[in-house]
Amino acid sequence: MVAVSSDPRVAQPSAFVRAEFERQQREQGNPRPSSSVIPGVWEGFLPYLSDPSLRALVPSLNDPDVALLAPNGTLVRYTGMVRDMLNPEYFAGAYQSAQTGEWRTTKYEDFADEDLGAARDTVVWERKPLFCVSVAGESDWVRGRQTRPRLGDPASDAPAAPGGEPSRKRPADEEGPQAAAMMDCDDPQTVKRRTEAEGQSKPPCCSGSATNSAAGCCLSPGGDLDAGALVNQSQGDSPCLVKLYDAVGGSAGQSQSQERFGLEGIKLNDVIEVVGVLGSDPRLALFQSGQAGEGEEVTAEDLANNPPASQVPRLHVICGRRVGCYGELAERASIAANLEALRASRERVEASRAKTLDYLSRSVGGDRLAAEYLLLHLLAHCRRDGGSPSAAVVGKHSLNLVGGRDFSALDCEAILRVVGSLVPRIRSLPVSLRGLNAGPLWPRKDYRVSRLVGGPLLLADQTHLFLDETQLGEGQLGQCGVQNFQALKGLVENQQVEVDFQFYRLPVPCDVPVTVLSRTKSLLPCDTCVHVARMQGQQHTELPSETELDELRSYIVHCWMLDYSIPDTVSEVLQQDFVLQRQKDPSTVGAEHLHRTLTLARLLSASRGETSLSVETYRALGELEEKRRARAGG
Amino acid sequence: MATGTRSARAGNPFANQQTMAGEGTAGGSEFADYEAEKELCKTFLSTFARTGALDGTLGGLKYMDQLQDVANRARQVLEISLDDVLSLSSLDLEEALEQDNLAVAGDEWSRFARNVRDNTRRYLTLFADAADELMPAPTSAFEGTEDVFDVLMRQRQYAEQDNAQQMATYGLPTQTAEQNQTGDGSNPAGPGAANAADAANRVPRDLLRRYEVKIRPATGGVALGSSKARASQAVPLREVRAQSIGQLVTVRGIATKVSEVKPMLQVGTYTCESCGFEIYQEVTGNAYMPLCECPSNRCKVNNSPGKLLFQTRGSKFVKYQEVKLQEPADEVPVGNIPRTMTVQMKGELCRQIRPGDAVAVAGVFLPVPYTGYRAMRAGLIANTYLEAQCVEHLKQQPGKTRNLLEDAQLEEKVNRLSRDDDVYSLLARSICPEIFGHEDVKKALLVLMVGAPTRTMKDGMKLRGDLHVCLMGDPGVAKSQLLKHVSMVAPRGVYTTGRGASGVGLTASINKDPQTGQTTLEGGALVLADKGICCIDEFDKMEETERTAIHEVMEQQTVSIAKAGITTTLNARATVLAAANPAYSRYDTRRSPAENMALPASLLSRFDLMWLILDRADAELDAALAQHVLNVHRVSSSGSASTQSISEEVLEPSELRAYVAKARTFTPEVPKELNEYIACAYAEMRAEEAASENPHSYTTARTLLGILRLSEALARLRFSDNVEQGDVDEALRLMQMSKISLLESRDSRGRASNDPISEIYGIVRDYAVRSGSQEVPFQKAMRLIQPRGFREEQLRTCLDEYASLNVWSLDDNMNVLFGEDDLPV
Repeated sequence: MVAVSSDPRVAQPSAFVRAEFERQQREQGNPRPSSSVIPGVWEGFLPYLSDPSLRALVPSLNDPDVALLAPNGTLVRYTGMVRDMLNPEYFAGAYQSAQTGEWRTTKYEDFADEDLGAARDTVVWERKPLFCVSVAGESDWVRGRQTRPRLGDPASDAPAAPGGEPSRKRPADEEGPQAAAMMDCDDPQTVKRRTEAEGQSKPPCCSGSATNSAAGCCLSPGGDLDAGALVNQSQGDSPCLVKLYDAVGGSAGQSQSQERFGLEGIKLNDVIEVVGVLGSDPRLALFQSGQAGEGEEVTAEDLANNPPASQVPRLHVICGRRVGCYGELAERASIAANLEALRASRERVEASRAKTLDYLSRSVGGDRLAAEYLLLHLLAHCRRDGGSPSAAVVGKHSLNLVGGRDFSALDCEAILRVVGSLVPRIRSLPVSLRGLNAGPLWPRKDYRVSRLVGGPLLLADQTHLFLDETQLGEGQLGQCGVQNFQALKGLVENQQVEVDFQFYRLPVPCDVPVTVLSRTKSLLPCDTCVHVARMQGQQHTELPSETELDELRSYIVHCWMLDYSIPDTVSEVLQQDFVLQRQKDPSTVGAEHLHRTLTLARLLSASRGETSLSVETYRALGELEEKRRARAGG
Repeated sequence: MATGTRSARAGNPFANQQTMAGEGTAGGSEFADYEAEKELCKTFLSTFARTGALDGTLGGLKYMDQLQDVANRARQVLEISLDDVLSLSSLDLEEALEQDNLAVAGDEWSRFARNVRDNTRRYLTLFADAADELMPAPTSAFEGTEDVFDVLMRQRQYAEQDNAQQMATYGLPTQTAEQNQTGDGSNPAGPGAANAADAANRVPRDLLRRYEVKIRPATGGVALGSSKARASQAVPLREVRAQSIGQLVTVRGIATKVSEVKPMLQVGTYTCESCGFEIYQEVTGNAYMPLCECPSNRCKVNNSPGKLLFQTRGSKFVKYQEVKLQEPADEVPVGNIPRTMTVQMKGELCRQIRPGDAVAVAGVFLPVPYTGYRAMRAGLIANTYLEAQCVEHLKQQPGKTRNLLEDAQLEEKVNRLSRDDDVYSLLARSICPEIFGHEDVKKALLVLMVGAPTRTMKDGMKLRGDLHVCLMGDPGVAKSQLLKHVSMVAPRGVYTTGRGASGVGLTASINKDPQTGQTTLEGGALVLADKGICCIDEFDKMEETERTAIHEVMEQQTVSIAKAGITTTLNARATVLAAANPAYSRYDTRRSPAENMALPASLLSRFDLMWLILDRADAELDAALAQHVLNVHRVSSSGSASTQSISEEVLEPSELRAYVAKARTFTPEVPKELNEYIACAYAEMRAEEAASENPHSYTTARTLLGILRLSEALARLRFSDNVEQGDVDEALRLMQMSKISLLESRDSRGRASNDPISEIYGIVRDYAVRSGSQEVPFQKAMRLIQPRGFREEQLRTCLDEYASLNVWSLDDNMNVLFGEDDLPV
């Protein structure tokens, strides 16, 4: 059992909210509340998100133990990516008590204490539920971050602490019966969930995304009840229904902190960290399991959107923030120390670069050139001008590693293992004829359950997607296969995934660098195609130690976050070079080519730890390209 | 006294919201005086006179006429338009509705309109009550047989008389029983009312009404879904929030799910088994508890409550249908999931929406609490829905779908632009600004978007106005990007590939609805793009069957279907923009276009313009291109500086769309004077084609029509109702350029090989020959050369040079005069 924190705000956040609300009501003479914003609450809980020491007091829902055992109504935090956005919920946010005539609030709660039927008056407020799951494809070493510090933390590390100090025991006792009731009621589901959790904790890099998607798309014929339950399970690990209240944030005048700690304009696939009240009331599960009353139809939609709290806990968000990928890593202790050194000396960068190359080259059979391109590719990220999805994507890069006839799934796994130990997010997707024809990969809305399904292509930004084409045989693509292929093509070419809403398609922009592993040149239009020349007799030596890996990871984080500019003098050279090249070979040298060259130049310059492009780097890139092309020709 | 239904209502935390939302605001701190408000409703209904001129009908009392129709059973709906209410107010639309409630300013009627908008449910009943009281006697005898209600009403009358007699005989009080019977309904008469009044009240009014009251939001006379209808709270579906509860809101959306029509009980009628007493129960929510004990005095006195039997025939049912509305694609912010909303359609509104329809719905946004077990499960949450009042289809008025012209700011910008001389190039540049160069191709696309008016001949034959364009080019010359951009900018654009991804293909398919098993006709891309632009990528890879259908679409603009028991013709007045790769990967000038594209000539001739996009090396252009790309990449990832500041000025897609929309409102005519000029040019083209060895074009009558269409479209771009010679010249130039693009694909150098001076000479001379006049004014010459990218200095040099050679002479104003014999006649 997870201990209940001694901090009253952590143990009973709602009490604080209610007290604040009632105090303000008293001060204002008990008017009908006009706005759902309760001043002071956001400010009151912000430290639990922003202050590391207070943050440690708040149990994390990403931890499976906490998720199962944290008492209902306590303060928890959760990090996950937005998988679906449900319709807003309208709820009786405040009511006038029948006995006293005072206004009470039910904000951040699932159920009211009093019978609302007897209330003199109620006010309807709204909240916006987001269906979140843990970040898809997060590498093991990143995930460690969430569990490891907790083990050393006495405040939350409590399973073996019976009868602690009295101050802690009291709230625990209060929660006791309720929690026990919850346990009783949920037992079968708890067990089920635990087994599921075990089943899904495969290494994320080779996780069965294909099987996952298959589950998602084979929803069709089975009963509606199953479909409703399935849709939540097929989406990913540690799901959570995150409910956003008003414009999460306090009163005006806090623009700066709000910028960092705000959830305005949340998009699909964004990764967010939220702190709020846990809602795991067993009554929430009553929609499920045949307890439907007479004459009431429970639709698949109801089931999907009101899963039992034991499967999908609710989290009533008080404050939250968006989580960047590399920026977050840079703050980790193991990385931050290395970053300092990397920023300080160029030699260190050079050394790390050489080590990383060395490490990467093992995965590709000792091929330095392929490793070089792989390294550049790991640093790729794109941006868009303006917010519109039609705007051109700048800086995207996709890599095609051509391994020759004997390139097997084993080789792919080796690459995945190495890359997965360096980058924070990685996902693999085997591309086979059967897989393509089997079911849709593109995300789409299932109107029977009113939910978005089919996620292998819905990835958080900066997730490296590895497409394993080595299993692709000859055959015919069906309609579904063609569309799958087009979805992949759209991702590679424009860095966007189209979501099928039956009557129209909406593009979701993303930043997912794609690597295609294939035997011959891939069907997908990749930017760079490298023929891997594996040396004979290369053995995979043992993996480097964690500290060594941390150094390499820090190097990647460092390079990824570097600023970049092109000085005028260099751009002059580039321009002339382009004109010359084009006159030599107008058919292949064009705008596309220049875009690609500039992207690679940026990546190469970043990999060298430079913040602006130099002529030498540009020439070095020319040499690299020369070598690469020579191989393709031969 | 408190019956089961009453307590059920009290136990419902949302009941307040449902019936009385907005009351607090409507009447300040105290409740509004609804009797007075009802009087206001009556005054409005009985006195509102329509202004005769507007809809062509004579003046008269609009609503009294409607009521008369209702009384005569010629009408089922009493539609009250808030526009009419506001027309009585002295304030204008926006002001009247935006008026803060606290401010006392604003007259009676604008306050009334606001109240109706904010508390619609209540006013619906008030209007209905008012209408009941005003209901005139039927003026014409009702034709046809009496329906069930007539018979039942008569029986009830008799029964009541009997009852009254009995009561009188036994001297029993009737008060209590009647109070109970009306159940959960509105009961305007107080408990102390006289027995006579009770007799009338006993039958709920709803049961007797033969009409429904619907309120139409104030829009200022424009269509519901248009952006100007803001005043009516036409909000994006996303913006409908808790504050809007109880209010009349207007939203746009696409119907994703439409339930079947079911009967919904409005007034239930029961009879008592033992005493024959008739009891009514009004149902307001979506659930009710059937009565089972007879409340009549006789049963009470006898202490043996009789069983109540439900009378299906005597009850009142309304048609009921539920529609799921999904946010339209253009209102969804990037990276968000569209929101959906449940809409309840009642009565006459049913069956107006089919799945996939784009509609604007005005309705009352209401919460409905879960009941029974569900209430326990859902906790505090309430379901919400929109009770529809008024539905408008957006597709039936395509011009108004996104009528950007109504936006004042845009309109101003468009007007300002139209005065700009360079607007033609500016607009062209704004198409796909991230693609560099290709100005003529972009101009062609612009012309395609504008199109020419469709003409209908006296004999009913139609001449299409849509301009079809086909882009060819090697892979990777941004054809697809151009297509995508056009389909994005166009008010109705559909992008598809030749291998139609949807399975419906380009034309239409017959589908079986999985739920109802009904055969339905589903339109393909071309049908969906009716009155819009259909962009077909990979045109050459199209299936043979679809390709034959394209013939019909491109000239007749219809799709005819004869499949599975459905024989029909669908409109497909779509402009086709196709992109194709040459058959031999490179365009081969030694072969004809038909061979090059592997498409039949009959299909190719339907394209007004065919363009071969090529990537040529040109030091100057390439340097500019490199600069452009570099700029795009140079901006650091912060993305603060946009590329637009560096590159030339371009228009936003919305501005471009607005300009095109405005241009499309003009219907230019070709004046008689130009007929000969065009005929001449056409004859010349024919002669040219006959002279060349292997013609690369088919100059047919279609080409002539094409020239006319192009000229008309260009005139539209100038916002003019008259085609001028300049338009024809530009049209011819575009045609010429498209031909050149095909012919010159081989040489790496285009017309740049010619020296500009002699080319200008050629242009001026050609013009003189065509127009048959010996004088070419300087301004005219300017206009001729400008579209081809020459500058004024070049023209002046040319004029001077040739004048010194005595080819022509110049007058003081630099006008060119040819000698008598210099021109061939």
